[in-house]
Amino acid sequence: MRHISSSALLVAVLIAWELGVLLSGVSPLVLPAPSAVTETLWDGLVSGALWQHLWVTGAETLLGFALGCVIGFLIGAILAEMPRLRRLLWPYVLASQVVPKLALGPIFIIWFGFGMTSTVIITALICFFPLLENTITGLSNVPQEKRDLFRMLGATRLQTLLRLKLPTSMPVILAGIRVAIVLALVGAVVGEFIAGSKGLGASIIAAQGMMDTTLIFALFILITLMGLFFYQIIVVIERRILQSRQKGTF
Amino acid sequence: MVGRSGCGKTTCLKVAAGLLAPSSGSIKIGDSPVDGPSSDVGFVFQTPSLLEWLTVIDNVLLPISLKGSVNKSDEKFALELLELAGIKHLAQRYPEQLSGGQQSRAALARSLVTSPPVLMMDEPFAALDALTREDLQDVLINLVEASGTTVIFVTHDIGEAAYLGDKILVMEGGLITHEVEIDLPRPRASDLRYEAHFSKLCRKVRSAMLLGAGQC
Repeated sequence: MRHISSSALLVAVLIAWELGVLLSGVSPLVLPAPSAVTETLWDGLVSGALWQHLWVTGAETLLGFALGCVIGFLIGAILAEMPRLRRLLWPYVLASQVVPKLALGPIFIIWFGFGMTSTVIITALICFFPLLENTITGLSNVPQEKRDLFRMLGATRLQTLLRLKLPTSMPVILAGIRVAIVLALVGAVVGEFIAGSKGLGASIIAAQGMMDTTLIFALFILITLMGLFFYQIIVVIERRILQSRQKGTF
Repeated sequence: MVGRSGCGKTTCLKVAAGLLAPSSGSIKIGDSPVDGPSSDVGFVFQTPSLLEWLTVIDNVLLPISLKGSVNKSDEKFALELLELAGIKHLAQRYPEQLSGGQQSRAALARSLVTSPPVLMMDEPFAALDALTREDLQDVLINLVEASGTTVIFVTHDIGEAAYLGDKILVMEGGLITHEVEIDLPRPRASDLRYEAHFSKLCRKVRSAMLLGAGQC
């Protein structure tokens, strides 16, 4: 029922938008009609012009996401296990989190050149922090009694990490991954604004140059759909992991 | 050990278990000094502290699986303990599917699966309702009698101390102020709580606690 009302709302908004554009005679440069956007999107997909950009942005998103998550998780785990190192580095971790990562784009272009590498690195940097923070939070917030239990049982440090801390903090770490996948797409698209010649973000900049507002809207829809797709995949994987945790794989 | 909240019972027990380092002095169990957690000492915490991603039987077997591999006889022993604890039928369930009392039973079974010579318990039943607590006290008596383990049991409940204990240490302000011998016969059963001698012992413990408070 809720789905039906939500869909009905969307249809209503689209109809109002179409009629509004039609009746007001506003220029498609300012606001294209939904029908025109759909047509542009369809043409782009059928002719194959959009697919290569979709592919590039998708690859950048996933590569940056994987890189940022793995490094964020590993460094988070190291800092959580070494409180003295964490206290030493924490102010810098916090400071670096506040730095607008996209503002580093120009430097990355100087270092790594114009193109995919720079975009992947910007994306990885954006994904790095939610994983770092959630890993540290999760691993450090295991209840004292359970840690005492493992001490009483003579568990080694590695056993405590693998068999108590990681499974306990798994939901928090997975929440970080869910945040990261959304940020990854933002990172890739906006990274392309700065450093890309291919991809959906670069196409938006190109379309802006050609004053092709309709194409910008079409790209916008494509990016949204891709984001939803990635997010759903992560949610499914998350559910699988939490289930397998309960079956004793961890 | 009985005493009011904050009198140092839990701290004392944790020092004895090797979980806390004493600020001065030393602790010996038998002839060996305590300098850290030992596998000869089992510990039951205030909360059941089960791992929610393991089944009840795997939780009970955790102390063994951390030391190496679990064999058939370990599994059999764990099931026997669960049977004595009255939750053998729940062995394949997960902790979240269990009531508070059932979780406490599983935690008890886990603490005894390595047959430790000494078991330390820190108000393990404090969060349970009165009837469940009485059930758990009987389960503890049965399990301990079957295993021959020495138990140090911390509680703030005088009746619980008198029902379970052979000797009650009354604590106040970080010190043991009194010792009360409990000469009730074993095996003990629930009706004992309503006998005159039991009430007399409880009153004796209570007045010792009040006396201890006066000394501070």
